[in-house]
Amino acid sequence: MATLAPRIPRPHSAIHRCVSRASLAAIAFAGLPAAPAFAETRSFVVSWFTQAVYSQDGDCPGGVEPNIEVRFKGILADMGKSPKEIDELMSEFDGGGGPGPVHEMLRNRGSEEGKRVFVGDNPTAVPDPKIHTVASKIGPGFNLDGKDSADSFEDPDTHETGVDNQYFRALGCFSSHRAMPPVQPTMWFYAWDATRDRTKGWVISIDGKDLSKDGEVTVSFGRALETPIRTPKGTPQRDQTFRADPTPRFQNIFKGHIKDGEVTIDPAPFHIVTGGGYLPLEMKLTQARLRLKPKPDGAIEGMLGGYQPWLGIYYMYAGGGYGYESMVGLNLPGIYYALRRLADAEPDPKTGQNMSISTAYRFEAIPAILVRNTGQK
Amino acid sequence: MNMMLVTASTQGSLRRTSLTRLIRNYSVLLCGMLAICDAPALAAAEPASTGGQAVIRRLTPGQYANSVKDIFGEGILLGGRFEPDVRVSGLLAVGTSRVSVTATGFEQYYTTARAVADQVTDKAHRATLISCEPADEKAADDVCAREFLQHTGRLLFRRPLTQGELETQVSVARDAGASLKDFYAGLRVSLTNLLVSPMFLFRQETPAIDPAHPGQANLDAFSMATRLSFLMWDTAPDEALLRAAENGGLNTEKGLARQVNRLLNSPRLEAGVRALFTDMLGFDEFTTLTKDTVIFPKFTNVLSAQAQEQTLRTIIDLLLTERGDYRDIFTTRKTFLTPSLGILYAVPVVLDRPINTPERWVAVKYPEGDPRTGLLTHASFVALHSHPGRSSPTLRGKALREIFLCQKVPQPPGNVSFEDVQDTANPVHRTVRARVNAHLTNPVCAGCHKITDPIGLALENFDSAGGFRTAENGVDIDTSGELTGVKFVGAAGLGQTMHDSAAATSCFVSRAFSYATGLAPALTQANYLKFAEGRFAAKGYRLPDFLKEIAMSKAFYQADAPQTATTSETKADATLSTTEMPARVAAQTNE
Repeated sequence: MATLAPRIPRPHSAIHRCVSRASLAAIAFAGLPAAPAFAETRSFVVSWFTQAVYSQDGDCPGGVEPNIEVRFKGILADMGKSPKEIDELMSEFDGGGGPGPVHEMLRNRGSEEGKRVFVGDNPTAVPDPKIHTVASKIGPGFNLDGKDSADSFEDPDTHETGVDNQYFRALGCFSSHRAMPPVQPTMWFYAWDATRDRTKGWVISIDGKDLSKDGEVTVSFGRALETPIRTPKGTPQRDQTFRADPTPRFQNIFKGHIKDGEVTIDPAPFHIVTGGGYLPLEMKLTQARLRLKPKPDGAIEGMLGGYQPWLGIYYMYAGGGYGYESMVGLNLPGIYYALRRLADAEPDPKTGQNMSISTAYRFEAIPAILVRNTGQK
Repeated sequence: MNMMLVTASTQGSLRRTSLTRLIRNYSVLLCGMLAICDAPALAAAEPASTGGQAVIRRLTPGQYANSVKDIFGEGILLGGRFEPDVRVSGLLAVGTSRVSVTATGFEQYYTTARAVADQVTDKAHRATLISCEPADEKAADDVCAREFLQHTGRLLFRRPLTQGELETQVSVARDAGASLKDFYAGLRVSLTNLLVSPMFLFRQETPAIDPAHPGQANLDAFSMATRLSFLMWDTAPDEALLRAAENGGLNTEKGLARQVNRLLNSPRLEAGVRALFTDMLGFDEFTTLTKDTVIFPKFTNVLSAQAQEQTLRTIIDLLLTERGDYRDIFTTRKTFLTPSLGILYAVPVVLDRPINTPERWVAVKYPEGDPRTGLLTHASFVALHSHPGRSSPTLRGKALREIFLCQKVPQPPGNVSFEDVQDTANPVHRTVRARVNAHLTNPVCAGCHKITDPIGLALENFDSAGGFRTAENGVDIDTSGELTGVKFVGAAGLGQTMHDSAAATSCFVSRAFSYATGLAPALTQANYLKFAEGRFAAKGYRLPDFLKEIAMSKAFYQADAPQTATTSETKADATLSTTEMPARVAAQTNE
């Protein structure tokens, strides 16, 4: 199909269209870079980013993971505490992260060489608690391996089958990771919000001859030198200028295609750096896929998927410490074992253990002005 | 009880007797103390004109801050806020002679004065700000107190203290220092007194009678110095200017020119020009400007401040750095932006360093033919003169006429329905132009809107926050406009029309002179203003040259001759302590 709107949204104003054209040559701004060779460019900055989930009633056959108090009582029972002892211990539980005897006991419930150890740092110091996992056939993402197997999903939007998103399957029964789009899972909503002020902008550009038509494009997805400025509502501002980080490893360049207004890419490695904190410091995906779909308001909604080292994902949770158990309701050893068990790619040559897990992320990106090759160090 | 401290008028609304009473009460005029100036032999071609009343002008908050900073240094922190100024004849500078100080206002001045005095006399500052040391810190020391108060009082009052004023404050320092067993605590009380004195808080101009021309007068040398300094630097006269006033250096054309050139050639001229345009452009209205952030999420408090700075930087660059033509403020393609302003205008703002510094400024030049030319397209104009949730061609047209053409647009009648123009979701009238046209079917409204809307509609490419747009509710915006018979399209066309408008330059001449003198334009000055317009044009509409014309003119220093107070009254009042003044004022007010 070779029609225009909505396709890749054009900025509303003439001036924006003028500066959005990659040349920017018409405007004599100090320090402006030389004109790239593309006839048309649209640039965006990621405004939110979240794990791609699709939670439905009944998709956890074992049930949604119990709330914190119930789970902690179960852990204490597994540790051999009597009901009376459990009641006494839990009477001190205040919903926070401690300190106190019960917190100490729960935090350091692992055992290694006769010593109590924190289970976040030592998840194998306890047996696999076998957390509940998602058994639904509907899940967002991409068919990464080209197969439609028993553990594959069907994407709810594209209806692509064979979708690989074991990360959703592994954690999708924690209430903090459950949501039905457009709602974002609480855990990721919080993590992104708490991190974005120290995360340099994630900028995307789509370059091509005519973005209103089907055809070949170049898609870049990388880090900027600037952090997004927020609106009074706390969301990122549209039309902010970002300089692309000139460091090559912070930029991903993909060969892409526009078809029916949507942009996809050929599989390729993906790497980006976050501000750390509640997100993994780095996100590395292999066989990454990207889908960009224009929205009427000029933004784009996107889906990013690929295989991601599961240990990196686990460290993101372990980095949250015991608080992720006592306040968010996660089960750190349970996450470790689930990720390891459901990992579905890149086996270790020696052990055969898959070291990566299929993932998918949803995001929105809003119009931005991207400047490249500024000569910045 | 009305706690009015001082009130004055520039328009003759205050009776001459009132002025005399003020002078008497505050020892403003000590004619015998100061040398009567000879009229400087100034520009030969200047036509005869007479000045207005000598005025008493309250320092603006900026002038107060600048004065304290200059006298005591950057390290002295002010805090709090003073009472707002009042805009009269388009300028706060004129309004400063129409304001009083309420009880609450006096409390604010006192609190600030006390804070300044505390800092000046504390251990961290006294060694650098107080030139002498007492023989005993735990006792009064008249010699050191007199040295400090004489020096500092002269800078604060912008003239030497009278003997009575000085001895009063030395006495206060002595009593307080002895009582508190702390020299610096005593000095603190005296300094506080000086800082809350009307002699500091108000610029009190003193006409010196010209015996050859009864009824006319020129300002005395210290009043000249004060006018000059506040016009050029927006602060109190510095040591060199005060010395020139003392030694007669301002009484000759050569001496005056030396000081005028010194002030003009200083980097501090920028502060004066900023103050002039901040006042003229009505930037005080930014303190109450709000935008609906649901509709305009790009407009933040940070951006509100940066919008003003964008315009001031543009003006300074054009008129001072480039020594450009004043008229080009309406057409210039060069401006300065921050990342936040770049977001508002949706244009790239590329910083020159990798760290995230949104407040950094970048010089920007729009391409030929770009619709964003001139100050009228800045957020400081289009956003300031819009409603919180929608643009307003009426407010913009009114502002343009009042600010740049010195015309008065009447307020709307009280019984007008604005339903048509407020209905931005009207399915039939989808653009502002259509809604305004519907509104104009009411002939009562049409009269005024005809003089505002054809101007403002040309700026409809700019929404209420200053963002650029080409369509409203899906309908292309028609930006055709008209001003005094000249038709144009868009902001660029309006800017060019203003650039070419003789009324616009005439207005600026009048406004700048009013700003300088604190007087609303008077018929008696019409000849001079006409003359000044010619000089402005002859000098290529260059602001520094024009400021020099004003500063070297006779008109700038002329004032009506005062009715003098008797010597005994003056002498008695000269020794009033500051603490006595409110009571005297109250008594006067109740008369």
